[in-house]
Amino acid sequence: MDKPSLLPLLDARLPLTEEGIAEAARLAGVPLAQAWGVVRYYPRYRGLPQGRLLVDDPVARARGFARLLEGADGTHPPLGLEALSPIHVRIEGRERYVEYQGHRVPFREFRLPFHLGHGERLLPPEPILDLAAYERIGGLQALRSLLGGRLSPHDLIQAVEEAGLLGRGGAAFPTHIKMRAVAQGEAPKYLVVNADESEPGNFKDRFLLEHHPFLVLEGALLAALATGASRIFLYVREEFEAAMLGLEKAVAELKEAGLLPVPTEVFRSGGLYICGEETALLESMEGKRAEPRLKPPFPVEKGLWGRPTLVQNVETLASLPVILKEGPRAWRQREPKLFSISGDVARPGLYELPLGTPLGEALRRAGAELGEIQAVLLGGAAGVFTKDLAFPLRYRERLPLGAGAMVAFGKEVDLWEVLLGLAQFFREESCGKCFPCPLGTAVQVEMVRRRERSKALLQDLAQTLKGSLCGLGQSAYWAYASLLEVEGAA
Amino acid sequence: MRTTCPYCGVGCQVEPTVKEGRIVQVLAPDIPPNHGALCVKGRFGLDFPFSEKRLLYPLVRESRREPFRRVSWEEALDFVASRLLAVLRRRGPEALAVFPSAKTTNEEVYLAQKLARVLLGTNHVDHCSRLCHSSSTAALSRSLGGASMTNPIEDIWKTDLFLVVGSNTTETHPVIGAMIKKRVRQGARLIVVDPRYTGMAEAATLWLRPHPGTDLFLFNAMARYILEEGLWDQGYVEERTEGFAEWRASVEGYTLEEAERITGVKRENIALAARLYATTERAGAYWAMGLTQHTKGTATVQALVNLALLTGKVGKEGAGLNPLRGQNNVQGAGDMGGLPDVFPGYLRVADQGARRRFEGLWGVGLNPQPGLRMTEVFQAIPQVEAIYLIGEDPVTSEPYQDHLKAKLEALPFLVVQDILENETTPFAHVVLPAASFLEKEGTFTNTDRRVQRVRQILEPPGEARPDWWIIQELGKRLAQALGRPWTLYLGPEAIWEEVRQAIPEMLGGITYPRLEREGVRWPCPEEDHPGEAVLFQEGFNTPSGKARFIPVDFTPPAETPSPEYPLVLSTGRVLYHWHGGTLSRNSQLKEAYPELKVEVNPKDAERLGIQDGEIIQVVSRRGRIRARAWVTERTPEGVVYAPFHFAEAPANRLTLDALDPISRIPEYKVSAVRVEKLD
Amino acid sequence: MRLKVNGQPVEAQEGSLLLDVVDVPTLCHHPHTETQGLCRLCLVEVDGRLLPACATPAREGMEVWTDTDALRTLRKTLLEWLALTTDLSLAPELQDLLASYGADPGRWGALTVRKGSAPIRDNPFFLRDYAKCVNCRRCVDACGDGIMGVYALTLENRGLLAHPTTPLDRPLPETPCVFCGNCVQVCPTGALRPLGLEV
Ligand code: SF4
Ligand code: SF4
Ligand code: SF4
Ligand code: SF4
Ligand code: FES
Repeated sequence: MDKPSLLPLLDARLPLTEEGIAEAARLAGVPLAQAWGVVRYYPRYRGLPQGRLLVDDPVARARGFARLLEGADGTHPPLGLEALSPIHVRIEGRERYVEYQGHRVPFREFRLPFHLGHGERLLPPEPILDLAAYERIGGLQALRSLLGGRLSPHDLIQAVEEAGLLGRGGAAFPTHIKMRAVAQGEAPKYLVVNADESEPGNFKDRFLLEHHPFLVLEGALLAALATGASRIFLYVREEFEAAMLGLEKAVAELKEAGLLPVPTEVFRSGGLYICGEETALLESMEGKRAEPRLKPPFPVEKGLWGRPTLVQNVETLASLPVILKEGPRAWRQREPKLFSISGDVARPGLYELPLGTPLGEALRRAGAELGEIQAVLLGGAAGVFTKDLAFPLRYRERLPLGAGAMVAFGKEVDLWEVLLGLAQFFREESCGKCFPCPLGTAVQVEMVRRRERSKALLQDLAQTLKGSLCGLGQSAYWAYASLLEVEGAA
Repeated sequence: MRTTCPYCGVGCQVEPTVKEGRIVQVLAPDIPPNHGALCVKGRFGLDFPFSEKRLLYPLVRESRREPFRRVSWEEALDFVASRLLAVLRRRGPEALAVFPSAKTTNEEVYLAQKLARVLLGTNHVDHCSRLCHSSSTAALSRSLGGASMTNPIEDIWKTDLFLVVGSNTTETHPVIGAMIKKRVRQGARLIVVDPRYTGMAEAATLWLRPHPGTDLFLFNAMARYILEEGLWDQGYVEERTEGFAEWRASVEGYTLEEAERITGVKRENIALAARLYATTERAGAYWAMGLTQHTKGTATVQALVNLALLTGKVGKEGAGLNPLRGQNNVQGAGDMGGLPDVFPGYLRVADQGARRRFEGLWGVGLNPQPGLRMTEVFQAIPQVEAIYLIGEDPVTSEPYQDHLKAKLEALPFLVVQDILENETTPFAHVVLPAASFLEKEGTFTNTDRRVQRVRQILEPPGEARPDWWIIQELGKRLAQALGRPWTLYLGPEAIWEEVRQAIPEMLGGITYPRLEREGVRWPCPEEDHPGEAVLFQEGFNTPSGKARFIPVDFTPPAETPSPEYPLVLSTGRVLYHWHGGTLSRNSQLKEAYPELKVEVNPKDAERLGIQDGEIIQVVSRRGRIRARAWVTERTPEGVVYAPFHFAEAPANRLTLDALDPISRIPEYKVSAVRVEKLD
Repeated sequence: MRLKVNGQPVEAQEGSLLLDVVDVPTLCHHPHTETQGLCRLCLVEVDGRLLPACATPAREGMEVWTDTDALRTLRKTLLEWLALTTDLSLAPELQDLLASYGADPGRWGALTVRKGSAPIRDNPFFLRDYAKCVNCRRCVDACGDGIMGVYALTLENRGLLAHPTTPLDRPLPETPCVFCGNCVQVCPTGALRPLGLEV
């Protein structure tokens, strides 16, 4: 990647003027047309909404959305704050704050409260924010083995295969296959850490980044060394300002200690849900509108700037040091997964549970009264409503696990109101590149608004959205279809 | 219905939609050469036949003091015939000249030159390529024995390096320019040699900005560097060329150091360009007027030819020597013998065998003496007494305009046959209204030698008639009076059949039915021959079959800046207009670029205190024009650039009529001028 | 290379696209631009997966289904949604498709997102009428990577509000536009059309 990327050049020129845009385009070596297309795409260049904004997540939708809105100037897309929802943020100019416990906490200082985390293998006993602390809890052993030659890249990928690690970002693709493909590709190759967590209901990556950055970095370095990637990019959701600062500090510390074998940098995301889609993410890094690419080719063949690229979720990478520490077989026995649980439970938070835990059990851990639960939204916006509390939380089962979000809804909740929130979310986040998705998500909003229950219409909607270019459109109707099923089952 | 764009040599295929006698939309079919793409001229500029300046009726007058009279075709043609005959009887064939046009069809050019040679007995036949590419023609014919693009347009997709010299391709041959740029986006290299920062320079991977008129030095220095570094293609030079040793000695003095001093291009960049060109297997050279419109145009093209031979680039796919022809049918006008020294098929007038062939075909004895070139004919007025001018507007396009106007004033008889009133019509004795390309049948031959159909879509307005009909009718009258043979053709296809018969080795295989689907390239001797794409793969068209190195030496431009005229003026075209502007400025295009803008470098502007957009005067030893200044880095310091499309501010009032000694092309690219503020 | 289309054996040339061997409607694909895979009208089914025929190379032994009920539903619905949101009055080919798929846009209720905008007349040659634009991007690509390399067009906004615009939203004459009209030629809906056609 020799060319400077357009987005950071634009960021350096905020607030944007026409001259600033033209200059950024010139420096990035791209036509003004491309720069303008980018400026008219990402919210932070178009201009952020101002004032006191209600975070519009499924929890807020379940808690009397209309009433909540009364005290707000507008809404903000979900921010991984579901465990604290309903909650407001405030935006004044380019300064952004979370209104938390009666204080305005700037984004760059706001971390999810540590007490929300419950776990021991992926989650630390206390926030681990410096290298010494990380080493005290046994960190960096795998990296040192690899650097010391006691562990070969081949063995590492082998271990990942034996562990059977599936990608934790939602697609559940076997990690070792991607790693191997990149390892076999021709240099230069890249690793991109997908830290653009924006699926409503999920806050596991956010928590890891904010409280356990070295674990994520160690995992990333392991993967980079195993695949021969010559650079690591941490593509972090731009609202997670504290996480970005923490990561930058951690990278600097590793470098200082001579433990950064692969140059690593933080890339501020485009700030849209679609930026989490791996190819849209790459587009935005290349200074374009974050619109998913047609696949094939897959990023492992042609990724960033056309080079073989491993794009991997935060939690997936954080699992690597754990797998190597515990040994793949032992790890596999009780495969740890982070579940973000929110909504009508007594102790919303992040729970590390073995895969296979029944849904009801997970909710009970978070203090739910199972008898009071009407339904659970599993997996986020691209997820499903279910009342099957016996459902084992595992990949490749009847229901999609997504990235492991669960939002519980009590008996009083109007699920159509929640669904409307999801439908509007999809309509707002559709990139507009392919046809079925922008059209279908707009039609869907109208259908949900009028509580359309026609099976035939819904089926045609689903059939058509299925033909979308990327996962966003393809999954946009899941929640709707599942709600009708849940209603039917009632 | 499909036809061929009448503007530039790309020869784009167009499908105009006509509604109520107007063109409302132009689409491009998905066939060669343009495969669906067009430029603004083909897309939105085809409406000039509807201009108010359209000539609708034959007009005649005895002398320039009288007003024109509208007359019948009979009367007009009789009048022209009688006046031409009078000159012929009194002064002989050398006092007559016929100028067919690179805008008219092959059939019409063929017929016009036939009329001149068979009936008037004169070889004073020429067309405007004199003004653009005759330098290329001269150099290529001498070295290779053929004067056209050696490679087809499609080869752009196989080319890995483009050496584009003096061609503002994106504006003058926009569809080819777009193709080259796309190929560069796919990874090919583009080396642009041009004093101006053109669209091509912008797209270039390496841009060399030599001082105007110094390209020859640059090429010779590149060649010397290639020799020195051992990067040349020894096998190719030995097998396929001759004259190498003598030529090699001639480039000795062209060191990189000297080249940097003379051209102003950094020596590293000259070396880099040379190295890339020499070491890229598929490297094609493309050029246009920037190279040819100099007193040493022929020598400069020759230097480029030498460079290509040295590195083995001719006769190969994706490479070659590719002059981009300007006018839509400038290739065809040459092919059809619209030149003073050759018959159709470039067979020499002076060659007895060639004369025999045409004497046999036409049934008369032919004049063995090559005729004068267009610029020389004008200078020979009043020894030349009558000119039959078809589709040309020399007052706008020829250099040193005031001088030319004086000459035309002195010309005893001028026939102007055209579709629109232009700057030359006021000098005419007879004006003959011609049909436009939309109103007749025929063929054009584009820059890569593709013969393509022109199809009638509309009826001619008023009493306008196709050029071939007018020439044929005039010929009938002359033939009767002179008792010479003259065929009456049923139409353009019948004329084409005679052309096929005349030069079967070149066009024998190309028939009208074959052209129905898409154009066919020459040489195409048989009907089942696909048409040659890449020339000279086997051998060259020279007596020995080898290409010839010809030593050429650098000489400075004819007019160099002086304290009184400190700036260099270059003239040329802009995208929205065509040539003298007669067509394009009578179409929708005029709205996009309504007035003359002269490009001035910001440093010069500052020195002269000129603001962007200010009205200025450009003054040369020959005249002055007024124009709006466009202060821009596009033109280098010390050089002002003026498009020549504007009759009310004709850039060619300023230019010099110094000629290239071989091709007789005028030096349009370098004249000394000064710029004055208008107070 | 041999493959099966709707159960029938079909011969295909090496390097051809599925589109070259199947008969499906297309909208975003144009042979001279590089846009493909956007409109999804040309989707076909291969091994239970939906693939755009315009962007999928034919491969030996492929079994392709082009006209399943699911695909018919998808195309019909998509056309209905286009008709619902976009002025297709100058897109006769789309109108024919609507008719042949028995489309009934009304069944989805009202939605008029794109229809509102007024035509932009900012140059002497053609107008831009985005109420008729389906956002296929053929124009943007023709102007940029596909043909011209001029980059006088780009995209504005996201989702259903996305449509072509000029850099800095300037009138075309103030952009690098060279008025080649190649964008007009590739526009399938009449959203870009020559002024000559306006009376
Ligand atoms: S499905 Fe939606 S988000 Fe994905 S490419 Fe299509 S429009 Fe964009
Ligand atoms: S490139 Fe030349 S032939 Fe093609 S449309 Fe333009 S002017 Fe006509
Ligand atoms: S007319 Fe202008 S906008 Fe359209 S393709 Fe040509 S340059 Fe681009
Ligand atoms: S204007 Fe025409 S070509 Fe451009 S996106 Fe819209 S419909 Fe497609
Ligand atoms: S034509 Fe294939 S997706 Fe549009």
